Amino acid sequence: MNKSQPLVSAEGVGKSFGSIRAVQRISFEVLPQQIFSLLGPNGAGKSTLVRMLIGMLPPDEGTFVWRNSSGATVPLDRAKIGYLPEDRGLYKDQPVAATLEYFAGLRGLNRTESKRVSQLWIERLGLTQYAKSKLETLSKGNQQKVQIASAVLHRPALLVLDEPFSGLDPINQELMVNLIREIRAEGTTVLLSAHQLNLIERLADHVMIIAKGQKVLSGTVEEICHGEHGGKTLRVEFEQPIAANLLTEIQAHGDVRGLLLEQPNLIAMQFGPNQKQLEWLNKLQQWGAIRTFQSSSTSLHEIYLRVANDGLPQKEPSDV
Amino acid sequence: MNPSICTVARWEFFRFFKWRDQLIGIVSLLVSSVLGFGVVKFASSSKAVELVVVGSNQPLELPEKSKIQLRPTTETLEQLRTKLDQRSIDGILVITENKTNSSENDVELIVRQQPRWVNDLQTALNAQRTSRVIDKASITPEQFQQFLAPQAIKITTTMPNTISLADRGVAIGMGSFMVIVNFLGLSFFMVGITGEKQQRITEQVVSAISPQAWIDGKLIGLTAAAFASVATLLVGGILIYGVVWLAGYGVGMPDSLTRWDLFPLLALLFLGGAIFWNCFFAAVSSIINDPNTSAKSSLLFLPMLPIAAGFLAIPQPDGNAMRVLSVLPGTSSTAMPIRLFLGEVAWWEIAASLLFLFVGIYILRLAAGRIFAAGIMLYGKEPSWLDVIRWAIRG
Repeated sequence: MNKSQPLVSAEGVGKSFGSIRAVQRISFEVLPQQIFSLLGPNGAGKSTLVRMLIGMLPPDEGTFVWRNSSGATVPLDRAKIGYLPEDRGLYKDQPVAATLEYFAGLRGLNRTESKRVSQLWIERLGLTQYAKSKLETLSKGNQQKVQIASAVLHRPALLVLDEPFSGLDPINQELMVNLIREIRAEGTTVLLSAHQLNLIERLADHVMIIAKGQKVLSGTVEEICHGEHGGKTLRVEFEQPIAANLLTEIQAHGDVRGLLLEQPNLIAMQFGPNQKQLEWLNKLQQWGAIRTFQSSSTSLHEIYLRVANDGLPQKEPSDV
Repeated sequence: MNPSICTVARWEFFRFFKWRDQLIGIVSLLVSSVLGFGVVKFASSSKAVELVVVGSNQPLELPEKSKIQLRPTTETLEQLRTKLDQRSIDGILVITENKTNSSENDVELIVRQQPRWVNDLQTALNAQRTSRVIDKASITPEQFQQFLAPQAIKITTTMPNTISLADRGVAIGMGSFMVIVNFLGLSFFMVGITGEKQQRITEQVVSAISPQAWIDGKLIGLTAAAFASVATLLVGGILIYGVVWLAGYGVGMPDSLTRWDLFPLLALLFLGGAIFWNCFFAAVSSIINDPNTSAKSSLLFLPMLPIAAGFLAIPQPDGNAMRVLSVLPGTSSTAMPIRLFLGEVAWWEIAASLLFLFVGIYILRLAAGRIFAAGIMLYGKEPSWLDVIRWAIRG
């Protein structure tokens, strides 16, 4: 497979519903075997973008360009896509094996092949004892496993997972993370939309944050966390609760990029990559007795909170 | 055919048609009918009723299979009442001459409870009274019968075959068959599509196949499931008829059931009519979020009105109303079979009926596909009628 050519590129795609502009001229590229993460607050336009990408909704403007393994442009082939929607469910009164065979059939596999891959996935996910059980009798975690199997059993070129971790306990979240990695290792490209930023930070090769229908940030986790929007976070714990006027004074200084009151006596200050935290520590000592302080690289979570709330930044790390 | 349509059709068929359930249904029908006839047989073979007659020596002619046994007595009424209380006898029939009209009798039946066999006794008493009146009037029984007989009318029909009651029953049966198929189609689509919406299955399916392929698969699978369920009922009915026949209550086969030439045409009409209405059910079900609260649910019963109209027109199978209904798509599948059995149908009426039905299916399938494509993806607020009409026209 030609890994330098994107599997799919979005070129200025946009979509409106009445007067609401859900997606505004967004461009991006998803490379083969990449885990591409799409982030954004609720209502940012992620699901609309995903639905346009997989051909469920036609874009009002722009196009999606699909390429095959040799890099040639090809039309969208639904059989090569696996999709786990955010709003998802299964036929609760049907057996696990029959449900998987049905979804395999819908993705173009013949009956023999559908049976074979369904059995394979049932064993892989440890569901052998439930193969003939109705889905409603399974635990939520096991139902989620069946759900993801139904999206991936035909070995798609692109697997789109919309909120795959929602409703899962930490153990099942970890299982899901490993499963996504395995699927990628088997040659499938993964487009992932989720709110669990700690998991995204570990999983994603590329992150794109959108807010209010616009792309606000795009790059690798490394680029984002150490680029212009990254930097350092200084957490300072005071002996006494922090006065409101102190927060106003800190915010008045332009060199502090972000400020968060995490506890009544604990603040988190975000600095750009070249800003000096030591000077700030000295200043803060004058305003109140400091109990502890800690400096760390700004996490994806912190950057996300800032850019998703603020909207468009001036520049993106990938553009630098 | 698109393979995904076959996949959907097979899935939908077996989702609603379960062999095991159908077999259980047939066995239950058979068992209940055998038990029913067993009860009837047992009831008819129950012990004779002993009735003691007081005050009359005139013979009473009871019906041939009557269980009543009449016995004259010399015992007093008091003694008989004691026997009645002790359950030694089943009743006391007291017949006395009417004091004002000697040709009439006063009859009193003394029993423990309201008897079921009173009709046999009534028949016998009526015959005795008639015989007494004839004797009094000095006329022969033949003259009396002639006096009661209505004016005979000779009916000459110009059509080669007259319609028997059995044939009329077959025509009604055909209409009922279609009503059951439609009701099953309604329930399958309602449960299927609104259930899929409520269980959030639609998006994953539509990401794999087009909504038109999905609805086409559903139309084939669910229509087949409805016909298969009714066919199972018919098999059950035939088996029950076998039980009835074995019990000695069977009747001969109606002439209309031997008209094999009509069967291919009937099959086309039934199949077309079911698909036509199933397109409608699919479209309406896709715009309903919750059948318990949606005002649009009542729309699903709309197809029952023209079908019911078809039944009402049975007395005049070739009347203007029936002619129109037998050509319109949606009603032709009920009205045309009734006319074919009970009336006279011109070839062009059959041709027009089939043409309109299949053109109707084509248009409704496209419109339903468009409404379905938009409706199934819409959660939360139901669309307005304006939205639905816009989807149907423009997609």
